[in-house]
Amino acid sequence: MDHNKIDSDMWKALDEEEKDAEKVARPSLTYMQDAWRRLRKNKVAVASLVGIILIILSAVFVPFVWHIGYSEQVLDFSNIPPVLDIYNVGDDKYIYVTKEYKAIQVDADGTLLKKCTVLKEDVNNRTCLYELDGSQITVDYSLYFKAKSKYADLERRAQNDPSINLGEALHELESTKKCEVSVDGRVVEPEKQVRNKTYIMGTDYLGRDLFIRVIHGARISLLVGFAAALVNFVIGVFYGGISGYFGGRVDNVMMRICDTIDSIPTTLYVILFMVVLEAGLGTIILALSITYWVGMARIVRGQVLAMKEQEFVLAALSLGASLPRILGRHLVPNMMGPIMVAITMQIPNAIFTEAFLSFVGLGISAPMASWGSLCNDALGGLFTYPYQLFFPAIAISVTMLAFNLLGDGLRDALDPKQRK
Amino acid sequence: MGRYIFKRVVSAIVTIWFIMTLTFVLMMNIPGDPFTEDKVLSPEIKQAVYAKYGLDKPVFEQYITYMTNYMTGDFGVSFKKVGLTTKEIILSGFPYSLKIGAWASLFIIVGGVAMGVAAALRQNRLTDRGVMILSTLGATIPSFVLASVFLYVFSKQLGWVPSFGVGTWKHYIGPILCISAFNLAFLARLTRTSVLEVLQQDYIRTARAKGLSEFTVVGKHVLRNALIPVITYIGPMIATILTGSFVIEKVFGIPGIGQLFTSSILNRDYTLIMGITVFFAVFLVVLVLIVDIIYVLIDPRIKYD
Repeated sequence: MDHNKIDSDMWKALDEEEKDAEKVARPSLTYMQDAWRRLRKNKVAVASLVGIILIILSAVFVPFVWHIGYSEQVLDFSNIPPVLDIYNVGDDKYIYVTKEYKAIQVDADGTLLKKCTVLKEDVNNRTCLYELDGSQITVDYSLYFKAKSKYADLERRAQNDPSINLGEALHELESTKKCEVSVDGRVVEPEKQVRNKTYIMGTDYLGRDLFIRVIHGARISLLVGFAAALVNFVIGVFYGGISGYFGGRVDNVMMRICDTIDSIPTTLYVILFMVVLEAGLGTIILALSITYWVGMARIVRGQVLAMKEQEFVLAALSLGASLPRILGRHLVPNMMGPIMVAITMQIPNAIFTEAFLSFVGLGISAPMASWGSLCNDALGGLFTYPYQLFFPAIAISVTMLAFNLLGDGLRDALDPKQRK
Repeated sequence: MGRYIFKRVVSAIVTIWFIMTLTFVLMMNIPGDPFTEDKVLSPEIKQAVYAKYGLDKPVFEQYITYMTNYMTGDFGVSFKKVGLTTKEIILSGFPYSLKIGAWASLFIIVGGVAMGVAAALRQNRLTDRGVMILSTLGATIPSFVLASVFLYVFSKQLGWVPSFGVGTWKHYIGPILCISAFNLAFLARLTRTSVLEVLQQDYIRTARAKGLSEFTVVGKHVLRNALIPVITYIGPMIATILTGSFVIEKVFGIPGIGQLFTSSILNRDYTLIMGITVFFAVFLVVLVLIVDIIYVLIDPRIKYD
């Protein structure tokens, strides 16, 4: 029979390479290593992670090396913007005139030196007279003032007469020169624009350095974010773990409590807690923790319900492990994926709520700064000093964006099944 | 079904009771009392004042009075705005907030659904990318930042809209846009996911196989099924609009109920805080209840227990 004959070349030795076909080429990866590998491929998530690390590092270390403290006030230098229009007053001396018509001596590359000596503030003629090393500087803002009162008049009339174009008039007002500066009777124009070297982001209404206050705000915001997430994690693991592990009636009652807490408007109650408790950082964290743990508890409960019937739990039980041990050593490490995603999503939530509270006026108290309170402070002078809003607003928006994008990336990396 | 609705109503009532009790307990625990800031009162006057507001009675009795008063719509008098009852103050601010909230809700639902559907139908193309970027930004930029930037750009730089108050319809553009941003972003995402999911269902393939036009497939088969989850989002949406009103009304100077709430907090006007909290909470719970009931009426697949 034909097929009984064995071809001689079937007896040939195999290639060495083919022997290795069954071998696992790559080292086996743990769950976390695998997730990390997936996360690294996601460019957006990596960029966000780098951004967050940078923000954390600067929040921690910059205050130690920066030359100004966050609560240091220099009233002479209040409301100075980050970019200065400077006037040359002769002899390579420069001055900057603030929006409040104060003259400040600066050097050619934008370091603030000192406030010029006031000789006379003539409110009737809308002029201010300053003295700088022998030369007299006059700041005349009467033209702008006239234009402004004309506009105010127009605005009043516009209430009865809809044909008046207020927008155009406002534009005209905006293009009027704010003030005229003359040195010893000779009118000078702004010579150049320089960056403010002393205060790179300018100063606030009390002459405090905005840069270090934004950094300080990062400290507060990140602290609140991480602390609230940590407390939520602890409460959530305990509550959700117990609820899921015991199941039955215990679970039912505990989850009904969660439902009730869920259905009340939490922000409203965070605000109420802030009213009742003394203002301060600890209170904010406490108020956030009291109301925001429910989401974490639900996640943990769901995971525990899904895992508690598995053999490794049975094995631990038969070895006599206690509930805290089973929960802490066996269950929690196995559900770190969803928990980490939830934490990354909770941190920006907490940061946002803190900013919200500070913005409403219930957050941390002065002279401490948070991004919310900085935005709130800037709101009053928004039209005149927009840079005071710009920097904290950018800081909070970028941070929130980074955490959210990292959270999305983590979810994709840790839980590939959920990917959409 | 009747049973389900009954259960939902009962749980809503329990929630409202819980909210009112929680508010009462919190307000009882505020350090000091509403009159500590005033100049020191002589004991007799103090007693008279306490008696006037019922603060001298035992706590439990105060609780009963509080509950019965609130049930009958008596929210007490404001401690700080002399001569005004809490109810009058709330009713004076509510129309503004309601107007903004209602328009914002409409804008969110129409705009969010439109954006979400457009993104899903053009998945991974330019429209989709644009909508996703917009919705990521909308979900991460805080509303107070958005509102301040809006004010600066459109009132100060361009002069298109007035900056403060409630005079004309133009005053409402900014508040409505800024209060909607977060929810608009969220709803666009939700709709996109939901439409993408429905598009993969067998019945859509069947509809296409029957030779229906793309318009009919999307309008009749996709949308009707994809929009069901959107209804569940209305509850949280109302809650976000409500808290959003605190900052938005502050920035735009609208004398609505959110502004009243924040100012009552800063003034420590306890009866007003209490009244507005309970009002807000009950308003929200009732609206969510209505949404839940509509939801089961619309979607027959929902299990009622």
